[in-house]
Amino acid sequence: MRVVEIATTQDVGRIMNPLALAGQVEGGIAQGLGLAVMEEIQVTDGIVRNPSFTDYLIPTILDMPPVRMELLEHPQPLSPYGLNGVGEPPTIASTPAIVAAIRAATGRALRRVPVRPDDIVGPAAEAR
Amino acid sequence: MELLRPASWEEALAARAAHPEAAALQGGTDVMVELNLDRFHASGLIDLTRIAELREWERDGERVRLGAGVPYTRIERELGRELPGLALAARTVGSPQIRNRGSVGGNLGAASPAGDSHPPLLASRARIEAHSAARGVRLIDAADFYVGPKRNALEPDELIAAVHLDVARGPQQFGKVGARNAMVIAGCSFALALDPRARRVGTGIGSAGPTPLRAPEAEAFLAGVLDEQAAWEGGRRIDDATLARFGELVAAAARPIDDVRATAAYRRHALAVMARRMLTWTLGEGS
Repeated sequence: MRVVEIATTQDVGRIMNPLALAGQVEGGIAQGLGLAVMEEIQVTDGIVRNPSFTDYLIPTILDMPPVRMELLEHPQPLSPYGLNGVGEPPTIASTPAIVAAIRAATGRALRRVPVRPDDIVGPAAEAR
Repeated sequence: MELLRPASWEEALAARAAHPEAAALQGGTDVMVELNLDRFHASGLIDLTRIAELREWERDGERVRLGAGVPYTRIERELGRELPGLALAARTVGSPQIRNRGSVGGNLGAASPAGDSHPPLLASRARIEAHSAARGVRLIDAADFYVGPKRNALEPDELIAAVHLDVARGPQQFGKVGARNAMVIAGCSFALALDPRARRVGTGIGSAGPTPLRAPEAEAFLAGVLDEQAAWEGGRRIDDATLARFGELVAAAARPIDDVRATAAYRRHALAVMARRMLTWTLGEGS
């Protein structure tokens, strides 16, 4: 499974450091991408079956797609200098965006994350 | 734990004979993981990295003798023309750092069903050169080498010196499926090698059985079709029924289980898809 592009628009308050800001948004997206397509603690009878980064996979640079980013610079009236936290929102938003794209591509219901290969082609894969 | 660092091949064989319970250490990409996870049960280590000749390869006419310690980085870089299937597999191993350390000899020593080099070794009918101080040299067919989960055909006093492979006489392909696009242990993998001169098809299946496996029925079926249609040289479109049957036979040869990396059902499915795809690619190359 390969995510080929992410496009995002985010209200970021006042921009203090443009490069750090882009890094925050892309980093947040990478976390959400991990949850969408690979990150899962697998537990059987209370035992974690993948207790190391050998089997608990997080995205590498090769899994991270190009990001098209539009920023809305609306200074926050209630925070110092009009600043906003910008890293967390994309960790939440990118997961459902990716799953919605896989749903659109496959016609599967996809009621859980991460999406596993069996949810798409396996015997239990549900049509939408 | 005892660490032995032989400076020559003779010393290494003597150490192996004297310490049959020790594990041979090449790049450490398997052994060190086992050590870190506290799953290492050998009595000691025989470090082979001081033995320079293990990191050499040579071509003699139609054959390549690949030293057991040649790292994957060099296989990708130096042997893409001679051994395209193995070079493709080398490219999928771990990360650049791991490919600088890991070697085919280490993969064979560990004999994990998930080792990326096993499918192309099986598909191209490689032979493994094993040495012992007492009995000298013998060659073991790759098909006879993998005897059980993480068990190989080596005797306790033997070390792997090299792997012998034919220079590719036809197209070779390798595919690997995993949950991310780099640094991933295969959920399953598949290698295909065509030898138009000998009219032989070679296959290798990884991570979908207790050992790396061949798919002999798929090989015989495809060789029959290519004979019948005079299609060995490629450039002809392979019909969908042949592709589907070849995929089915490859999937049927696997003996997968459910584990943290994939389910058995998905492994079979992915093998069938990869087999069809590799076949299309190999014959497409000849056109």
